[in-house]
Amino acid sequence: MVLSIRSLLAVLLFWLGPAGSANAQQSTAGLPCQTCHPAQAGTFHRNPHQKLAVASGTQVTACEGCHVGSVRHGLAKTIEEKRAIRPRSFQGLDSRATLDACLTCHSKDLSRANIHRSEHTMAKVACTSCHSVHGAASSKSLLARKQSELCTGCHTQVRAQFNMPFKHRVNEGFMQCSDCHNPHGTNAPTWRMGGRPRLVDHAFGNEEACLKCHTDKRGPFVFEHAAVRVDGCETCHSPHGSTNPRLLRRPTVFTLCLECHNGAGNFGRTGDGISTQSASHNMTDPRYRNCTTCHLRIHGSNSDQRFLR
Amino acid sequence: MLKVWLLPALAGVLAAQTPVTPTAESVGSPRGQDYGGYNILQSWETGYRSVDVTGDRGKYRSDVNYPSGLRLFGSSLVVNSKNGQGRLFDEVLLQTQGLANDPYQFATLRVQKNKLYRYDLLWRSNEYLNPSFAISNGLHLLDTVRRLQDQTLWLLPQSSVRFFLGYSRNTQSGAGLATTQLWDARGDEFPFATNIQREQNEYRIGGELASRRGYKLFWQRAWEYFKDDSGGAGEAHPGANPADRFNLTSLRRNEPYHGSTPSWRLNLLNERARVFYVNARYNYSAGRRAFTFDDSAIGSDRSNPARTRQLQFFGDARRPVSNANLTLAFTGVRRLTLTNHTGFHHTRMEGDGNYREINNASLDTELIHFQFLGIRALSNSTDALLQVGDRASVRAGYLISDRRVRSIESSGLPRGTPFARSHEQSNRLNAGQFGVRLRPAKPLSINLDTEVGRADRPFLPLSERNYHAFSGRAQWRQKSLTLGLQARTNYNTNSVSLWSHSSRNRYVGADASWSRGRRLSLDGSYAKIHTDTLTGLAYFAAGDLTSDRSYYLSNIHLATAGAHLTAGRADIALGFSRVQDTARPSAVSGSVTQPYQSFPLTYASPYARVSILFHSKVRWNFGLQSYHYTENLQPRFRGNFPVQNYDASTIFTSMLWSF
Repeated sequence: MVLSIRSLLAVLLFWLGPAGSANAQQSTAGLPCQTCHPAQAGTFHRNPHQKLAVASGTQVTACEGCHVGSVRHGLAKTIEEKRAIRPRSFQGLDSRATLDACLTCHSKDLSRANIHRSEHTMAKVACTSCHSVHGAASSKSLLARKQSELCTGCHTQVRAQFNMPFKHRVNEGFMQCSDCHNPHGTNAPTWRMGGRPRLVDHAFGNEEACLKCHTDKRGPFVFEHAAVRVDGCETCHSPHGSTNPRLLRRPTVFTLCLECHNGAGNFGRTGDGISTQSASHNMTDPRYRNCTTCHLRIHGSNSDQRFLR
Repeated sequence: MLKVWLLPALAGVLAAQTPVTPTAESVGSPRGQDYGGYNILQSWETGYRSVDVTGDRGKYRSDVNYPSGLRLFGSSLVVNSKNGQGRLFDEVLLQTQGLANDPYQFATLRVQKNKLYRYDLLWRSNEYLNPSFAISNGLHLLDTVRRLQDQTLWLLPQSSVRFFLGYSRNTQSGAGLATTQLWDARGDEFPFATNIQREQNEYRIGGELASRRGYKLFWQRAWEYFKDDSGGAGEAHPGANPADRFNLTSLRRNEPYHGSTPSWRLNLLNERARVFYVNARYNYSAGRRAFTFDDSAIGSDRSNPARTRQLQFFGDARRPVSNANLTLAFTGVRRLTLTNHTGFHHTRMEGDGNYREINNASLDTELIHFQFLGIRALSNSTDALLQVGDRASVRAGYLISDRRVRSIESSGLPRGTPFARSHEQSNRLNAGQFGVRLRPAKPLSINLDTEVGRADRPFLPLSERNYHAFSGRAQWRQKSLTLGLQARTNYNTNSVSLWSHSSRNRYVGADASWSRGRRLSLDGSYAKIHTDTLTGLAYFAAGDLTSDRSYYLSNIHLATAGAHLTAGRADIALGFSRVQDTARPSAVSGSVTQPYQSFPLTYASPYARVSILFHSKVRWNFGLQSYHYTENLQPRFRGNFPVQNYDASTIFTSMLWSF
């Protein structure tokens, strides 16, 4: 059975095979380098840089593209000459120099349009902190390790949050950090005051990231819960993980609601305090402590100003 | 003694609470095998998982949700042309996890041919149950499957003129339990079953045009269609408060909600500048949803033994949103990076609805609602990063943000007098940041950051007003040893006359990992997250307006440990994770909220896995993982909450093979 699968695959791939593949390995753009650097060259045929270099017939995305000077280094005849001509190495290279080197080609991608102002760049996190051209765990994005491991390697508080009983399923593999975040920098948020958080990406170009999946909360609604639209989902929810149901910031919902709905100060849409509950609510009676039992459409409603339906 | 202490401390970041499947080890040659002009790397893991749960199965399904059964735990297929000149494709990349009925499934596929096309598919499925006791006393429930997919096809991906087509789909379907409040403001709550059917489709088309001078123009046109055809029905029920005289005989509810959001996006950025980078973006979307609401209920209330009510509501809601961003970056001075970002955002939300109610307690009523909520925000941030010598850098930033929230509430009765109330307020935030990066020795890096913000008129009592945040991180990385320390604090006070809110959040954490070649690795971490908030409250208790304070306290301790050992043909992985909230609620005389402000619990999950290489292309794996959830709340604080403790064990055996 195994043999037949292999035969089938061989026939299929022979038919699909690259034109003139007999000399395939010979066309490797980095061939002279692999003589002395077999570990780096061994799996480089899987690398997007290599494939593009071969396809375009240039050295830009092969060894010389990143390791400037490698051609001269390779052509040197003696060991002394080779040692004298040292190609650019990314080990120990300053984060800005690394960024400049990578952006020579990769600045064209829209997702990196804000990379110079990103928190990672400001924190001197270089491209090579997360990406590994030669030792990538996956050829997609060339990440050095699984994405969640990479991110939580530094963001340990987030790792702690994903271990809570209620959490988004990142450890389980259903989600990735990049579903909500753009590690290369983002535009100013359209929620809260346009400030923090700085690496949360927009859903649909101008919405809070949560709405990418939770589309039923997106609205528009005739009666919007202003807290959701103005200050965002984080007002009530802890997005990574929580010990509280539905990722709420409090163990029970009524304390969360009451902390805003207390009529105090100049808060809220009307600027004179957020309305207290009605006098018909007797908080000593436990039945009134499950606010969302009646105020069902708490994210926004089309039929009731108080979100009752 | 130190060594005895150090070893467990070094054990396990690997663990976190990562599921024990799929197996992390690999089979086959890491260099793959050549067929024709292609190189292939593949592996498939199939096996069986058995699950045993004692205690609250609903809570287990809410937290973990792995069922028993035969699975394709994981698979990977990588096909690459060796010379980048395949006939139809140069790369095929397929990865899957949990297929065949796991609650968390995904598949990614990439097929590309250099310079001609690149196709990406991401498909995901999540089965989720949440009994939601804390928000509805068990009267709400969600047992749905959410499926997501994203597809993008790029044409001429490496060319200066390239195009793309995209499609995304998001569906949610399943059973739910909801409540409705009948028959008047002091009525009762009745549960009813719902059939959740939501679907969203988005179609995208766009392209990029790059100029020789390094400028790039990106454009995208998208159409998003959403429809929610959920409906519900309720049967005879005495209500959440059986002692009263409110009853439900039957309920039928249909509330279709359909609409579309067409959008435009334009982006202009330069790519080759070495001194001055520009990124300008404009986005516009015009959301619109039409809805009807048809609800009919039969039952009885306190004075009427045969009460009927029919509600009909229809209308539409609109939300045009514009936002624009401009980023300027200057890198002309060797050790200095300067960036400035301006963001503008404008949202207008409005809608109208026609309301009709027919019931046997009052006459037919008709009401037209209309409400407007407009948000306009403008923010500008400037950041500077200065390299000081080879071992230090300093960053500083300043953000100013201005937001205006305007709302008009209007409501009109055909036979009455329409009224409208208009409100407007503006908020301003000024925040400064400062940070230092130090590298006193090659293996040691230290990051210190602080941010101070002042807002003049925050929108909510819980919003940030006078806040300061501090974070510090030190990491020692030398060869196979990594040690890390982290601390963060975030303090906020938001006080107005006669009322105040303050929150304090502190995090401290330490982690370590060490490895000896590929044979042995150890990881470990500990973190403590402390949160306490103090907020003024006002609520009605037995008809009197009562002042109170909400004091929320949470002390979460988290420890993880893990080890990986390779001995001959066997790989052994051990891991452990434990979360414990040790905060205890305190009963304060007269306070309604205080007993419910902390929720002590413990959640632990150890796992072990053995993987034996029988053949270079075949591995046999065996593993177990258990989950223990315990609520440590004293009965006097529990109120209506049921105990949701559970212990669950999952055992799996699988074959990981490559042909």
